[in-house]
Amino acid sequence: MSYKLEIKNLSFAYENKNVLRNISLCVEYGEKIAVMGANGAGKSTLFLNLNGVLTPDEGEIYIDGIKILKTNRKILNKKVGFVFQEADSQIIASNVRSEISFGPINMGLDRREVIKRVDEAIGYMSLTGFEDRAPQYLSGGEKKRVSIADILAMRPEVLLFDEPMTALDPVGAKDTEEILDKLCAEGKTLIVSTHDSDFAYRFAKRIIVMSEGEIIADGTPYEIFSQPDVINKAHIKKPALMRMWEGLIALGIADNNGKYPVIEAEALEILALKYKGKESSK
Amino acid sequence: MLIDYYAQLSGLRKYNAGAKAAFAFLNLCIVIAVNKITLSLFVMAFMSLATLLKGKTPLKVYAKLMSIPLAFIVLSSVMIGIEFSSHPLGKYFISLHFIYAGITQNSALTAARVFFKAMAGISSLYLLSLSTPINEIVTVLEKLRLPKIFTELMHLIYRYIFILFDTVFRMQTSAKARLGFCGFKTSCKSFAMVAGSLFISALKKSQAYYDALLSRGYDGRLEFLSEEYPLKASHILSAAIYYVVLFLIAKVGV
Repeated sequence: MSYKLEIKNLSFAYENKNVLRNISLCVEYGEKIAVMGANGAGKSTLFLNLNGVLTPDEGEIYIDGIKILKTNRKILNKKVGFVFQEADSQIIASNVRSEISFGPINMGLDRREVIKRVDEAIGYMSLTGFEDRAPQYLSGGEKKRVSIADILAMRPEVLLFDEPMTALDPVGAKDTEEILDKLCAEGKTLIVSTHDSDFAYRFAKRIIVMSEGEIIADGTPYEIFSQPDVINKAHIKKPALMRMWEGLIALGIADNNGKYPVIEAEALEILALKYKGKESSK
Repeated sequence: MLIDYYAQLSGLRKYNAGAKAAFAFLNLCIVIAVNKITLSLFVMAFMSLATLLKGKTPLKVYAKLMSIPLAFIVLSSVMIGIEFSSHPLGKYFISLHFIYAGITQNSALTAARVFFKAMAGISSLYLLSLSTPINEIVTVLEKLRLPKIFTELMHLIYRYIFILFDTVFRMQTSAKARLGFCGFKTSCKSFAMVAGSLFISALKKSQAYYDALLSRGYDGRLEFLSEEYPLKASHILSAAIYYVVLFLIAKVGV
């Protein structure tokens, strides 16, 4: 079977400190995955390995069936894009346009193709009008958009987002979530690390939970959040909607048929259907 | 930082950076070589008006920036203007027991020439630096075949100096919030602590920045798409007219 991205028994240590232990993972094309776990669980280190910045001490990474060796690590840079947590640590150039061009130029594309991709990424992230702006005069949300455009211009097939909502105001966070949804709808594979279980619950189709460098659970959001031991071990919180629904089930208001609503509107609809016998207006 | 901020906003920014640099430097050379007060005054007036009216730099900011070199220039011109001699010289002099300090017509003229020459030179360079952000000037230097190592360093320094300043500012504010800067002794201690933790955080951050570079396929060459603003025929024409006027003033002026 040919998986998009496959990791077999990957281990990684920073100067004798084991950060990742024996990680195996298969990611198929078009998946929407959230990676959760406490700080220091190894999420960012896993991403750096997947993106080819770090080389695993043990284990193998395959992409499209190609085994990644030291000599062809650049394939990972190209096919797996990594949007860093802090936009400021990613932005290197002194204006938006040259910043976005950095990745495509490193890929060895010719100038016309670079310009085409940069223009496309600027349009996609609605950065038109900011092309000549220096990064020090951009707001946090704008910087985030630039850092995503950076990666989009490289046209990777898998996108890694390291805690994309941190340090963003609610509007910025909402915009970022919309961008993630849009990318998914276009068939990109997304792996997003997050602490926000409400976001993970409504966004992801699959959640991977990490603790102390190991994957301790891998499944649908409902499966993950109904395991109290996993929740405790990984220091994550049960999503508000799920707690609410469990409360409603306990009170006998909602039916326990194993189908939990994913967003508020869905919950309202189920209840309206049950008690009023019609679809709610919302 | 102030200069950079207004350079980003300047109305002259969309002019070709190489042409602006060439214009400013040629101006500087002419002003120094001709050394005439009328020419210097003309250049000073033209450059200031161009920066203020065309570049839309606020007058307050421009005056503040001009006043910094002004202090040095005034002091040195005064020293050039005063001559020392064993006998009384010129119209105005004072006796200092054995020698006389005085101002002659000649020395006053030299001083005035130096003063206006310096001011004209500064105003030409301000025209450049208040309309062209550093990265665009670095791109011009790249075109002039300055070794890559220097231009790459300039790009990186320009980018990270803002992050560094931002970090220092935040550290100092948090130190102030905890009474770190009341009194001389605590100020010294806080300064040392801020400097120390700045160094450590710079070391740590540099690894993250390097990782970010690698993740986008960096392999030892920092290359960006740099597009220059086009050089327009009307700009060349107006520069040519300007130099003709300069030439005429240089012929007739004092």
